[in-house]
Amino acid sequence: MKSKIRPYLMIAPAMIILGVFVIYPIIYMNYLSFFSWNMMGSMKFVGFDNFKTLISNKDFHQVLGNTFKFVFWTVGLSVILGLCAALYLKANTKINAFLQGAIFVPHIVSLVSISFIWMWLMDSQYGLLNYWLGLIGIDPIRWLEDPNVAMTSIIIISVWKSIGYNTLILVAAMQGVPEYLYQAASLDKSPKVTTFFKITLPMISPSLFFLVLMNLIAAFKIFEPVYIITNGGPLNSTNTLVNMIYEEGFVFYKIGYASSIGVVLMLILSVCTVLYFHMLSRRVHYR
Amino acid sequence: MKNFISKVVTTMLIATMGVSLAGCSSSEPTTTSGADVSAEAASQETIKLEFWYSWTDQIQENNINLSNMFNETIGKEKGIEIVPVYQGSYDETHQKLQASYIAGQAPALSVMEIASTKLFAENGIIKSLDDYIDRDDLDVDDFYTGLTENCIVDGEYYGLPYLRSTPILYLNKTLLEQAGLDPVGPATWDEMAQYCEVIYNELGIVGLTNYSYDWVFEAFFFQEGTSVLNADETATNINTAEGKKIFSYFQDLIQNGYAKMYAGVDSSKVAVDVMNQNTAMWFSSTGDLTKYITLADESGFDITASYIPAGVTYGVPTGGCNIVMTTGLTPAEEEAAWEFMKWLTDTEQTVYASIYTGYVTTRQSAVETDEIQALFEELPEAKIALDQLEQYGHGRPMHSRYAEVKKEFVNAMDAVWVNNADVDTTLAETEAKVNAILAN
Repeated sequence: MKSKIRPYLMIAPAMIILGVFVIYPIIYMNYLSFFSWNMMGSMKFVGFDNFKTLISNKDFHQVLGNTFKFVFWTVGLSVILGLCAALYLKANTKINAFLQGAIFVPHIVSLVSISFIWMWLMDSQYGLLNYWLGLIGIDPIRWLEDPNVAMTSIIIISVWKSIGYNTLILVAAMQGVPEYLYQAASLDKSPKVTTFFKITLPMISPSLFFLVLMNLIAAFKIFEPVYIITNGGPLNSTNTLVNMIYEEGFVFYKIGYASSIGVVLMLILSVCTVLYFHMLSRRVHYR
Repeated sequence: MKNFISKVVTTMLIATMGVSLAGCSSSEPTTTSGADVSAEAASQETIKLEFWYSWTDQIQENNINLSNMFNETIGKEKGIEIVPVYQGSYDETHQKLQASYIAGQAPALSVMEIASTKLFAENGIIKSLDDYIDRDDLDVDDFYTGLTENCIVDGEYYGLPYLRSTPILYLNKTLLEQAGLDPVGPATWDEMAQYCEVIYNELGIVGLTNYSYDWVFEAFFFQEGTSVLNADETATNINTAEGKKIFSYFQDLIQNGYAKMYAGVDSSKVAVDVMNQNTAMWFSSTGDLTKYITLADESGFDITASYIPAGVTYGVPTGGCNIVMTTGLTPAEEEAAWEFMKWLTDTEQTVYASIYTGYVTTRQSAVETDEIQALFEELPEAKIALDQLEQYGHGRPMHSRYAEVKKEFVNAMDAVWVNNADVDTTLAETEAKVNAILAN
């Protein structure tokens, strides 16, 4: 009897924290999404009205599109570029150790500082990027002011920020691949490309799998650069789901409506996670 | 095994007690609302009240100084201690006020941006002051009418004017003189266009810089004899002849290179252009007067200010914050909070705050004092701001969904002025969106 209680007691602190800060808010968010409430007055039950409004709201369609565009490009580019960088940096030399450190720095710096730095780099009048472009005779780009360009700028910033972390994880994974596999491959005179696809990639696939999933979830939750640099503008072109949740909930005081967007985000993330585990986990080579 | 369980249970008990003790001790010094203090007991002990304020620098110093002055005089006498607490921008203050109210931890007193008064009053977070005003016979007519409009919801006062402002037109006197223009500034929008053209031709820079600034946008509509929303706040006047005139006027200036407009999110870029003397005129709050004078001094030019140019008339919205009292206080706390509000907005303190911060002088009796008259002599721009308020000041829209409406206005300005969208279609779309928000 006593030994049955013990494990529960051991996990109780963690479970209580999880319950209070994760599980309860999720349940409460789902509950709130059926109400019209400004957090101050009385709550009004509205059934699925919030979701109906959401589906018919053109701005929401745009936000959804923006978010998917952001996720696709950010995750794709940061993982592929991270992989390239890792391939280059995997040899354990002093200069590589330095480069690895350098490329990792953006990951340590807070997103808020990064946002401010890039805001000025990308300034259309005084920014360094346009100054450099000017030196090679390219017209200034309105990085953050043009609705057609702004999202690309946000993607560039996010990719720049996340490459370092991806590289670090992948380098570690590559250095963990046993040397005898490569020796065997070179005995067989395997071309470098074949070695990469047949040995390196399968061997690092658990790390790669982990990275893609983590990047995916982080990308769907993008908030800081959007909030700080563009605040969702110009013309809603960089507005993403989390920024919209924040705006509807805490600027416009429509917490029920904001919760319904939260529910949509949660559904998207759940579907992604389940699909991803289902499809890819079978192909991942675990040792 | 028994030992283990008893150890765990003991540890947990101790931990729980520790937490609750910590909770007690941390809440003790800041006890405001919710504390079950009877009026009798409170009159003997000191009542501590939190006072939430926004912004830093002079504004922060002003709030702290005034709170200290109160604590040392009337506060000491009547057993009241005001604890000023910084909360960020107006939006952040509102968000925290709302959250703390739900949690039952609201401060007794807070500043509140004027356009939000109705939202908080309607939801019962802030208290009507009418009973106190009547009881103490407070002379509310001493405040300028343009300032009290946003204190009143359904005929009752929910706040008293505190740090208030209006937008004015700032001018780089040095540049205007270089271009051979009268540094008094343009009196009408036609003159404004001429000024911009001359500056562009003479100096090769834009005459006017602005951003998608919803507050100044309200002024443009007042000057055309209308307003951004109709009188009962059920529809917008954006898609009217006046609205189209406003949008086209600036679009023309921008296309000719005579004016520069930044997106709403890039508001900070205006000050950079001012500092680099890439622009000769810009709109900003009267509250920024001291900031721009310092900036001009450092960059080596002179500035002056004038009314925002007239269309069919002059007209500006007022802005800034009122001081409000939250609901749910004990009678003794309410009495103490009222004591502070009354003192803070009284003539003497109005003079102090307006000299210290540069915000407009809110009371007519304060304007008559020697200190304010001396200020006007030293700083004629302060008088310009006050005259504009006195004669042409209006309240702001107070619809509880105005934050959303504002965003649509900013989007419309961004579209037409920054991204050169078509005026007619943009205004029609904005009108439909805004009216849908207002109807909700």
